[in-house]
Amino acid sequence: MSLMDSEALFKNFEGMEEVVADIAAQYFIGYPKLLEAINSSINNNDSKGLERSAHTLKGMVSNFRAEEPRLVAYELESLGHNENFSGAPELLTKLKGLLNTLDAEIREAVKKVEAA
Amino acid sequence: MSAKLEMLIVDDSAMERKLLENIFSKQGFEISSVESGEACLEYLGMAEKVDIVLLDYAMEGISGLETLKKIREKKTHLELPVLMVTGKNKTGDIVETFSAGANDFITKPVDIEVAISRVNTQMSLSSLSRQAANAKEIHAINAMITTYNHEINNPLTIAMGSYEIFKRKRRDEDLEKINTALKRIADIVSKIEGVVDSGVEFEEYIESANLLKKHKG
Repeated sequence: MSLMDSEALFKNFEGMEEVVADIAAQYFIGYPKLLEAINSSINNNDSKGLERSAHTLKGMVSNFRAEEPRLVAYELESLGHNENFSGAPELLTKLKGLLNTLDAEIREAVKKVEAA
Repeated sequence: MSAKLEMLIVDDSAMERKLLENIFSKQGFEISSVESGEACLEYLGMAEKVDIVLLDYAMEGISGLETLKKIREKKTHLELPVLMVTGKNKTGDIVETFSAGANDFITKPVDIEVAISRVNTQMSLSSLSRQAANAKEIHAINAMITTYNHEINNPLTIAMGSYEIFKRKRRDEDLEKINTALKRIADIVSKIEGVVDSGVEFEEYIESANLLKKHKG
């Protein structure tokens, strides 16, 4: 099953599908840096940094209507907000895996847009 | 003056900026983007014209809410509509946003159709508010024109009458009357110049005057 709700995504961008390719390009640049920032915040016990980076990443994946990674990012954001790091490394590992899959799904979606 | 509406997008996420830029440039807006509250305030201090601001709620540095409060120290809701863009949707957060001076808000992830409708609503309200302000000003100007017309007619009649008498009788007292009447006219003309310089453009005058006529009719 897909992480991304393509139907909801393309319904939202109806009539301006090319925008999906534009924001995907920004996503591909942005998300590895944010994963790195989350990792660094966890290692340095920087709760504010964890909250901020996870929040931004949550916003980015939600644009692709990818609920599962959004929820994991939200859990990390909440840990940061509550200055609690327990379970954070495991959540980050889970998030990395999900975003790896999402990356491929987004690239597929962009291909469809460009082919249309 | 540019006919396009100017939108300022403030978001620390490049992706969110790109998304909003794409959506609203397709709606005909002239877009400028900045990535922080500080840059937003600086831009607003220098920009010639901004018609609407889309302001991210959660940003590094000055938060969206603080930025909004600072904007409202200088511009009212009607002068500059600000829509907060936020992932927060709890009642308390929304109330706080409105209390700080937001005209409305757009939730993340952005529902494009809803976002466009909300922005368009604010633009319509701004336009109506401007028209109402112009119509009020034109109403006052029309009243002044009637008054000045009357005030010019009186000394003009005196000056013309005294001139006719002067032609026949050559009396100094008639010249004095003409002089007093002309000074009065000059005084009124200088007042009219003050009104003309007050800033309503001719096109706005015609548009608003027509609007007033329509309402009266």
